[in-house]
Amino acid sequence: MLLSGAQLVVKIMENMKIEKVAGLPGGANLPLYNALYESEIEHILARHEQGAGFIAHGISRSSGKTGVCIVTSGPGLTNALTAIADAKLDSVPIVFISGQVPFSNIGKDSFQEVDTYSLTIPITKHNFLVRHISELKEKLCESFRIAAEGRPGPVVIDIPKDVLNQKIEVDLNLLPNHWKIETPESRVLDEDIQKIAEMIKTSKKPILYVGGGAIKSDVTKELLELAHKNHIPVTSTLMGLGCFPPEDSLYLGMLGMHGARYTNFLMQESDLLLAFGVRFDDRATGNMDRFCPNAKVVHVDIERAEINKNRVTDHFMVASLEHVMPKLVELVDEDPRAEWVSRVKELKEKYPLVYPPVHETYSPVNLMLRVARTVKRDSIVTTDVGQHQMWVAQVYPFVKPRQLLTSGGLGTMGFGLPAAIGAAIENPDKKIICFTGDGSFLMNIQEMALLAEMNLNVKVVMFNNNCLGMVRQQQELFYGQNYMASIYSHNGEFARVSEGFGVKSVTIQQELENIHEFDRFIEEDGPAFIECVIRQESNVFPIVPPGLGNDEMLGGDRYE
Amino acid sequence: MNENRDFSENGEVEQDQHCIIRLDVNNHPGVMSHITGLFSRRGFNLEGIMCGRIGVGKTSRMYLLVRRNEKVEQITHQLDKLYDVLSVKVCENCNTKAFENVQRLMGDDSWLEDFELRGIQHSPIGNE
Repeated sequence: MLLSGAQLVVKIMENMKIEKVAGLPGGANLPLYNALYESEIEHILARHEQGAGFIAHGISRSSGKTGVCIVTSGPGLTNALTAIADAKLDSVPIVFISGQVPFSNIGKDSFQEVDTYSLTIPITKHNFLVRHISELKEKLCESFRIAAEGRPGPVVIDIPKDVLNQKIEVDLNLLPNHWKIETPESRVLDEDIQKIAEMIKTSKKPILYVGGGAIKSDVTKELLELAHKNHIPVTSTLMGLGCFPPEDSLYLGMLGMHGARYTNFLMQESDLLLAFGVRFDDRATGNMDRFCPNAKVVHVDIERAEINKNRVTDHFMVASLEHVMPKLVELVDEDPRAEWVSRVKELKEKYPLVYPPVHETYSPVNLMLRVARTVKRDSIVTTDVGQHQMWVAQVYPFVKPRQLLTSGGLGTMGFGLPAAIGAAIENPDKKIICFTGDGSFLMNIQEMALLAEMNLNVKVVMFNNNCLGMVRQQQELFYGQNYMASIYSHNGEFARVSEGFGVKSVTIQQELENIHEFDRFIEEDGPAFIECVIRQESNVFPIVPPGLGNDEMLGGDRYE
Repeated sequence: MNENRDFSENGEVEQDQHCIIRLDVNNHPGVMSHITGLFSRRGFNLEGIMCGRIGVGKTSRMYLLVRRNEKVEQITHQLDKLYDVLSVKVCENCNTKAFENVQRLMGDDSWLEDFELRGIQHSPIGNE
């Protein structure tokens, strides 16, 4: 069959069962949009390319499927760079298809020309520039394979406009019709798993330190079995939240910069760290010289380059956890570990995570817990970045993997709303809560138009402290209370702005005593915006000051 | 890229402090950017590069001169992740003479023999 390059792109996506793509058209990718016009693929029209990128994040992060984002050349691509880099740091499989000026115009500073290839090298898993239609099929299929295989990540494929228009004869029967990638099991040696089991056996104080890898490889069941069989407490990174039941007595919550005091103190005492699907990020470890100084380290990760990158390991396996955990559960002995378990209990009681008193109804943490009590237990939560993100990570009871969608590695303000839209599109049966702040919400507020247009079941809960809260907090604690460029003296009326976009809105405030409105807005279905006015001085505690060890936390011993 | 201290005055490479990484790579215009970019963004030093194509030119071989230290393990695994890198080998004790020879060419054009170097008008940065 004779197809244009654009038609071939669409055919390959259809064959790979891509049902939804997010994007924004422009001059260089118009041929592709013309081909999409005749396709069953649903296109979600974002209002900004960064929004389109994060909608693809929402689709992919909530499902594990490969997301697709289509942008045009020049500013279309540069606007998407943040979402590309975010996918790299959090290992999210997304194929970004960018239009490019015609190949013969490349290098001539043409209209909307930018060197996409060079710009995206450091922030992608891999990138392609398609120089001729004859390369298109292979490079696009490779893009989908690379994005999903092993440790997932973003792939950019840059397609010049003339390549989209060129014709090529294609045998449709020969197009690949899947992108499911099997992780090779052959590398997993039983003796390596045996060695982990032996190290657990000789350990007195083991801790499981799990992250995004446990979610990607879907081992929550085995993780629970392992922890219970041998009584090993479990701490999670931000990316791993949801992989262990929050009410379990062996659960230690999130570790690191804003981890509970007992969590970080227990890490300090540990003699064996079982680091599964984690990358020893600095926000998790604090000062590395002081991180688990007494612990031997077992590191299991899908990517070899992560081993010994930030922390020298005593034993490692380069493998997917799905091929390690079942066998490991089998090999470890049952062990009540009475001494270690009672030490965990003791420190949990001595250094608990301090919650605000119940009567402080309008405090952000109590409002978050109120949401958790109101919605179904497996409702999806997205966050933006800053104080509210850390409060959510500290207190929200996540019960399932892929329930929390958050920008962990890159820390992108503006992530929450478009990610919630993507999650709602992918999970039409679920309610999506987007916790955000007044700083973050402004960074992709234009997608409120899309939220209203699609009438999605997204509740935007915005905490308004009229400042960049996390910046203000660090200035208070570490910069002599010099509040430079962190306080908004004018901030606009968010509820009216949201109403203007066509989203039902309300402002919740202690002075108004209208908490019942909050409950009603959360309970109802459909898009809603809830502004919660909070105290500017609210801080996230505990906090590990930059550069210090995790055992040198500030605050968190009482409610402030 | 080169740091003078890694070469003595006559261009001699301090062999015991260096090792050579040999890469076989796909040969297309973006490969060099991927490899040199990796070194700068991961904070690794690259002291020298030699590169040439193999056979009909579908692949190239690159020799990278790097300081021998604890970073070499991480460098090689990061290089191995690159899609266009087909194989990574490290030579801890190989002869670094070839890099010395390259070093001697720097600042000495006599190897160009009879050829003429045609200059162009140099413009300050910004008037590219």
